[in-house]
Amino acid sequence: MPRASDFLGKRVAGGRIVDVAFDENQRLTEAIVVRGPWGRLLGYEREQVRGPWLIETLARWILRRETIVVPWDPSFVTPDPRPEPPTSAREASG
Amino acid sequence: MRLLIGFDLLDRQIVDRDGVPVGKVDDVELSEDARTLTALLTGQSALGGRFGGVLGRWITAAAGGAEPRRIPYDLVAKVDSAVHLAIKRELLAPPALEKWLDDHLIGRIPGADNAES
Amino acid sequence: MKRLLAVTLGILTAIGGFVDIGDIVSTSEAGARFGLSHTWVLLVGIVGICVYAEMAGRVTAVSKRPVYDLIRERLGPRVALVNLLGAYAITLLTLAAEIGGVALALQLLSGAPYLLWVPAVALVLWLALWRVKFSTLERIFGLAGLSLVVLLIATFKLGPDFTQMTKIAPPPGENWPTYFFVAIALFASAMTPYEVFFFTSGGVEERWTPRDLTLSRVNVFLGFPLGGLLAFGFLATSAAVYEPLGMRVDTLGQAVLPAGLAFGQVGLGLVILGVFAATFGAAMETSLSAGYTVAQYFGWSWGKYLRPRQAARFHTVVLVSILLAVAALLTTIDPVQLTEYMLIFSAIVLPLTYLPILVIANDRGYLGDKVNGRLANTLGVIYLFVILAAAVAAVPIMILTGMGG
Repeated sequence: MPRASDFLGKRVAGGRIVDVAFDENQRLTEAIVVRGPWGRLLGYEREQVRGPWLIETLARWILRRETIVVPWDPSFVTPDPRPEPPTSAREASG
Repeated sequence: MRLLIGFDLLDRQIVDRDGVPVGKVDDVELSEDARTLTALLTGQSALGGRFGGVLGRWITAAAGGAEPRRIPYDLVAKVDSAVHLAIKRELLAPPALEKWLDDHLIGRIPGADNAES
Repeated sequence: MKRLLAVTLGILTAIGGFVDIGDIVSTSEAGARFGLSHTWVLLVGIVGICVYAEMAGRVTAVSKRPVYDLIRERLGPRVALVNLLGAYAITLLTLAAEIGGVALALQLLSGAPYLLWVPAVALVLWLALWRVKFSTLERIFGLAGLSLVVLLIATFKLGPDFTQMTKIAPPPGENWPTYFFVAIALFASAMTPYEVFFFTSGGVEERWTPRDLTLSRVNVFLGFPLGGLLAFGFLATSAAVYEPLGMRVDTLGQAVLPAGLAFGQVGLGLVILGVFAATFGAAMETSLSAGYTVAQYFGWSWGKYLRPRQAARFHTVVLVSILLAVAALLTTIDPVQLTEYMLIFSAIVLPLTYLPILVIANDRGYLGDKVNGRLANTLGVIYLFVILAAAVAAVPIMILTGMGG
């Protein structure tokens, strides 16, 4: 069965998947995709966290992200087409 | 209500209907067609799977490599600062490490059944 | 009386932070070398821990979650694991030091070498945690620790140079780096992270609800200043007796002696009872905190309000931590020195603990209208910078001064 760890952080067109929303019937509805290295930061990506002013400004400046919301696509859970990092080879050499 | 898998579920504490800790949401499971959320996964092997690499294998091994426990999402009653289940935790299979330690160590010490109040 | 007993959680937590064995000796040493010129550090530390313990207590009373539970949720599993390893190291080092400290207090009373007492102390500690109710433990050791108040009375009898209290500078013959090293060490131990883990887990053990917000605040604003005042007692009595003689303090015996000089056998007896209660209380605080942090990171069931069999993993961590502490002590390492290494881990753990608490205390999703006001946020941010500055400076200055030598 696919798991959340299969798609979180995965590269798709437009950036990386940082979160996925679902509705009351547990149907996955949309994926939140951001450009840039930081997706989540201490919860400041949500509206409910406000302040302290300095930390919030700093966090939002670091996030500086362009967020796009794309409809959920089941193909997001299939592995990256990029070649897997050669973990077995690395282990053998190191 | 719209919830987010990453923010509202992952790494959040799961508690039973009496507020007793059950585990963390270490990962979540989707249906085969990857269209719906089916279950919460809790246990060190699920957490280790998210870490990946050597560290992930250590974390998995520390739990004796037991499979994560699967909690069907239908059992979730409410999500706030914790994920509240609608049932008592005794209805779920006990975590393997907890059971092993209970059987072999803690449960053998006199007084292990005494409640505080 | 019932109201008095309700604040023993705060008192016990604060005693574990301000007058555990490492603090008793290092604060007395600070008094002997620098007189009262570190008084401001204690004040800064008291305000800092009050600000953050109040936030943490409020988060717990409203959300019913202990703060360590929320740290992984905000920092993510990786960064939280770094925090966990550092926090566990601090807690374990302190636990070992406290078991050694109780044994040293028994050595002062009995004359038998402290290493003989170590296994006995560890066994009694574990039995107490296994069998005795949380609130009973909290009351016995919180209240017995208050016998250290004798130090404050002794301060006025011994009369240290109170004019130094307003000075922020080392006295002649001492250098600035060492002065700063001692200041950072005192500040870090005032804000030591297991205080908030223990305090909020204790709040959950006592089943706080939003109605207990006032209770939490009374605990914070009475307990921590009181703990800081007791630390001041060691600083001041030691400053009065040893500074004029140019003597150093590096043992527990020297730290308790000034009370004996002020009030004879009675004074000495009271202060040793206080040290015994404070170190045993700190040993309980740290051994439970070791279990709390590990269990709350992984989401295990924890706490003394459950039957031990229902929290077998938590009780195993507590048991193993006590055994590790005993093993460390049996290598004959000096228990007092153990806590000095804490500073290295504090540099990592303090920012990673207090930042998420500050952020969660601003989250309306959790706290509704009980989020931080302007005062809590202003002080919170200022202290976060003080903590960061101390964290950055800690290790270089530690190397520079050879650990304050």
